[in-house]
Amino acid sequence: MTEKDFSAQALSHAESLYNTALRMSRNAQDSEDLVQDTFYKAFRSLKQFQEGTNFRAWLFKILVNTYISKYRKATKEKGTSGYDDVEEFSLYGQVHNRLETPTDTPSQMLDRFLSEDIKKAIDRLPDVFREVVLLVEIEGFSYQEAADMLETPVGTIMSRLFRGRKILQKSLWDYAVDYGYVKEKKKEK
Amino acid sequence: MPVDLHVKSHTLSCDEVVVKIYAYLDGVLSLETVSLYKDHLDNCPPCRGFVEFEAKLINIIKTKGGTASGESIPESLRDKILKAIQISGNPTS
Repeated sequence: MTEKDFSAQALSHAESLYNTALRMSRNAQDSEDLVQDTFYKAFRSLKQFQEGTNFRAWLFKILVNTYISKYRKATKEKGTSGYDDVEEFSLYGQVHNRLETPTDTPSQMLDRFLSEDIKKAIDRLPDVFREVVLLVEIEGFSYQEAADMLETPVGTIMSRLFRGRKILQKSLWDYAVDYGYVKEKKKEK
Repeated sequence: MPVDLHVKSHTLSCDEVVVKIYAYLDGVLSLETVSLYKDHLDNCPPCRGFVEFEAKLINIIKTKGGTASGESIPESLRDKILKAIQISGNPTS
């Protein structure tokens, strides 16, 4: 890949790199530095890029590596405990049982969620779950690509994604109740 | 190449549909299992409702939580990126 090709191609991914950095680090200044570092490193190691492989995934791997080595050192697995009960949670089950608007199906209820609700729920995920949700669910990378980026076995990616999705569902259920998208049944005393 | 006589040895239960939901939606099931999965959905409205809900939820998370509704790059970053590419000069190994 020539330098000219690099500039054109890499710049087209700048926005998704920036948004991923922003939501991994949750800090605007850190995310600018991360993206800048990513471009700097990518440009300098351009010869290591294998033609025919996924250029976008290669850029994201540099971003994720930089993020982990610089910003996530201290957190590691911290914050992942306390979610053992969430695996059984089903947003569908909750909505299905408690939907009080007769015209809505559970699927229609999902349309009520605002962009802010979804983003807030993602932002509140503990680091290791948020990373996988951002890479797989938001950016559309495969399990294997996410595993390469995070240097983690595919099985770990799958279990983190599963738990991440369940934690998201639980948060969204709480918002649905709080904001009146569904009405929670009165608890019997 | 083995010939698939397509004599289905078994069907999927509702529990299996629930367990395999993300493998199905993320496209990592084998073709044979996908076929069994779809057969089940064709014949089981409750599971179909569940799978449609989960698929829509994933789609909503992607569209409403994703880059399309994200932040544009600040001007300051655009300048930094261009600098990073210029300053680094010729790519080296």
